[in-house]
Amino acid sequence: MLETIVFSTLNGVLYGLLLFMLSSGLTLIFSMMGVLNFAHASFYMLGAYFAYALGLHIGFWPALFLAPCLVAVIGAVVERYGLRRVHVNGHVAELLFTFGLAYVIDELVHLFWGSIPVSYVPPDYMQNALFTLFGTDYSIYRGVTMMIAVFMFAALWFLLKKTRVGMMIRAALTHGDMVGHLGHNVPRLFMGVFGFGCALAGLAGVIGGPLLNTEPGMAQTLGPIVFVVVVVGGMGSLIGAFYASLLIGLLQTFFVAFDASIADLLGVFGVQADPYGEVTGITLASLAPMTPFILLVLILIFRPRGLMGELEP
Amino acid sequence: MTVFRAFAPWVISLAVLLLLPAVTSGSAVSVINVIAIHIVFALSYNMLLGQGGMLSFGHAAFFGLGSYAAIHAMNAIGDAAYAGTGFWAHFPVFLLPLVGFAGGALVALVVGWPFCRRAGTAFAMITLGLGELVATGTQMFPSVFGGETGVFSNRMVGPVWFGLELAQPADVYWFMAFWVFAAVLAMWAFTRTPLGRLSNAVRDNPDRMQFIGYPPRNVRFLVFIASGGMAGLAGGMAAVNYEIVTPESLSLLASGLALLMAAVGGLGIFYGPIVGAILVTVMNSLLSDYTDAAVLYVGLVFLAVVLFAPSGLAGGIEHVRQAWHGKQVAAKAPRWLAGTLSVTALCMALVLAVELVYLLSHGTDKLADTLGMELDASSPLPWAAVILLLATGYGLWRLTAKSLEATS
Amino acid sequence: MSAALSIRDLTKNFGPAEVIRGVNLDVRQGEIHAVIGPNGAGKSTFFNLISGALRASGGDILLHGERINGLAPQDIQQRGLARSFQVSNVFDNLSVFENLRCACFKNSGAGYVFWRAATGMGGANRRAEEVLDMIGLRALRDAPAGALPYASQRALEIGMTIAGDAGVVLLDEPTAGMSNTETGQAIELIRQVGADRTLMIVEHDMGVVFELADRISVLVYGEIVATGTPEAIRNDPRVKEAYLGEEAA
Repeated sequence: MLETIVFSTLNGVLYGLLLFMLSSGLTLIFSMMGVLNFAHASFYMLGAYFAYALGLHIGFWPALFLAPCLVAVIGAVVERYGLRRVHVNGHVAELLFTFGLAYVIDELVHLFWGSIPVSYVPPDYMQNALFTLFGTDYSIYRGVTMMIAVFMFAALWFLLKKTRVGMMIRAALTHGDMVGHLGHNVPRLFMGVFGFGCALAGLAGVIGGPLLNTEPGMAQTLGPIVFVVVVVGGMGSLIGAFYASLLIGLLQTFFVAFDASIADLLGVFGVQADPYGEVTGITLASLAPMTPFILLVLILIFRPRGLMGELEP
Repeated sequence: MTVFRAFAPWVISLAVLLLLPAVTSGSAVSVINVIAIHIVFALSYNMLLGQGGMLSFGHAAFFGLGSYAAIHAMNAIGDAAYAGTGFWAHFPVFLLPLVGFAGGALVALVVGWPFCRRAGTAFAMITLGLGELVATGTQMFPSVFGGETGVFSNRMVGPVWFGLELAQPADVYWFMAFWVFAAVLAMWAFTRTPLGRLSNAVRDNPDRMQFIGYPPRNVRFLVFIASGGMAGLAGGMAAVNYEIVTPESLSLLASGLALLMAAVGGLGIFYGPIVGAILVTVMNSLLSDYTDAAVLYVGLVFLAVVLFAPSGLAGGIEHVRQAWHGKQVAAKAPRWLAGTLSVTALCMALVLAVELVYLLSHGTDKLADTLGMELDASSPLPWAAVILLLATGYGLWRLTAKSLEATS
Repeated sequence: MSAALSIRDLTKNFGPAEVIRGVNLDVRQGEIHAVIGPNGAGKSTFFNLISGALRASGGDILLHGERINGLAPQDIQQRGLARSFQVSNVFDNLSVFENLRCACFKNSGAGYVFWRAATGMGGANRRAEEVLDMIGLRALRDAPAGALPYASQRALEIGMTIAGDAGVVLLDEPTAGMSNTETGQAIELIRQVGADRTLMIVEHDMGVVFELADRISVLVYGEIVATGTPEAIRNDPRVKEAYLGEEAA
């Protein structure tokens, strides 16, 4: 029991941090530009695939640094030639554009790399145990991933609160026009922020690819969950996204680990129920994939501004 | 004269529906049946988006749930017909789309109220959540949803209407023709009613609605129910057509398809989704015989429409139609020709590039094989052709744009 | 003379900021009552409070003796109070006629009908045609509202406000941004509208105010500093001070 709790916590936190890496970029883009980047998880996927492809030629660590930069460039190009164009047609047009972009990126990945997962793995020495608990190894790679995620959060906070660029971003958040009138190049700022947000997603892919399988469906599985994180945390709130990521990461991991069914729960109250019945046999594990969406619907009904948000979406 | 003009599209459509079997081959009928389903599905989606201003990513939930309702009803008819008694023994398969309608509308009624508080991004997100919730939830109730393999049935049961035993796809065509005509008519009529006008108003300016006596939420909720019902109707049509319903019909992919078809066809014009449904369905079914990148092409078309032709294909058609009435066709024709040539050149360049890449990464390419062409992706020649086509297309594009600026 | 609209000790705070600080005002039945005041006095907030767009922090708003503060905007509209907007707030993609007709639906009993054609709603169609002629936009009947020239949009704005048979009408800067000729036409329209209704107008154009108003109230920093006939207001020292500062007084 203790073993399950400890490992579920570790894995849940790791998964949550990965979700945060993804959702922080999305939150930044949404706060700045008001556009919900439907293709965000696709950039995550591009990061993983780029790192894999580059890694074959230049090694794991150089690829780890280069891949997010590539993704950032693609993101900037997308903003400059795509998003900016449709911006004049309103938010719905922007959503449609990013939706189409996600579709096309998914298919392009299929085109280049095929439909089966690619073997994107970290170097052998990283797969050794960082520590061993209850007879199970916890790999160095997982530890490194956690460190990178925490470091990224700190760097982001520092960027936004302590630098000039961060100040411009925070100002442009609510008064984009005014920032333009003050002489700052708002379109260039937008392009930079979009590219940066995509780079964060790419970084998440570079790190998460080995953990969660690098395959063409990875954007479609993780994409909706990232949206849930952003909405539940409160759109526009980085700290909210952090809490929401951890919440969802831990919930899903724990549900999968603790395979209790409704029958078991009823049993606690002394009610006899068939553990294999259709309704009473529903286990927490089977609920796990639905958890983020149940949370989303509940939050949007009872607290639409999310855990920490100030603006209603 | 104006009365004739108003009825003309309906008369022509009816004529087309009646004459279609005579002019098309047997194998095309299956695709046509699917087109009919998609037309209703896409139009129902546009009730929400193009007319009501509500972008939904979960529309397939109503389609799928309506479909499941219909297929269970079909099984009930089969069982009851065998026993000979009961309500379902007298219910014809022909009317199953109504069961689908009821299913979709009921779900929309039950879940819709909290959803309709706001339109825009919030609505999109909550429908995404609903769609995914339903899609992932299907695995929990295999007796209802049939697990991964779905629920199957037999449509040749129960009372026979109009002599349609529904054995062959050719028989099913008349079933489809009836329902697609009825559904399109119903949705068109809806736009002419006070509620239909109010839905347009709530799309244009939700803030003003309260001040003319209508809370925007109420209007959105009613449109949501109507749209969900119509999606369920399409689902019922699908249940009869395929005789099987799987959880795939509830997926995000299916929801995305509705959006795709409506947007490509044109959101702002009533018949836009009809055009979009025809084009996308044909592309999806035919293209995959000739190329492996069929899905990519559909996505690229969607992206192109969103970027360069936001009013969709129907917008283009209306443009031509207005020029015809304004007797400006002769003046605009050269520009249109240049534009069409430009688009054709760019498309050819894109297709060539995509197929070359496919050849590089997979070793073989279906399109090249079909066309009987020997393509060598490693030689510079085909790539030069790509660049040439791109340049031509782009050049023509700039020419058209400049002439447009000059005249306007 | 009975008061169509009574405001009693109305206050509105946004957090610590007191925007409306105790307004007392009576609008008499059938009169045209203008509200003027320097920028930032709170006139828009004032209208938002009366029409239900904002909730008051304190005080009462009485329409024909009935409390309407706390009611939703659509309920207030149904009780016979309508408002126009400073920035034209129309349905851009609908035609001018359709805009007016939508504004007529609720009062003509069309409700949420989806089983009859809108063209068959006799009451709403007749009323919309009437208002169309009154605001002088017959020639633009089928033009999309979003494409109208500015002055026509303002006229449509007024048209939509009166379409619902409201007896008390609030007009928010109806002549804002208009040329002299357009203002003249707007004044005529407002006079027509005010002939059988009670009007409260927020205006900056003093010419319009003195031309139309039966009585004027002056709103300064969230309080009414003076109410009276145009003559009385013109000579009131407090008003002069509020507008021109101490030197001129």
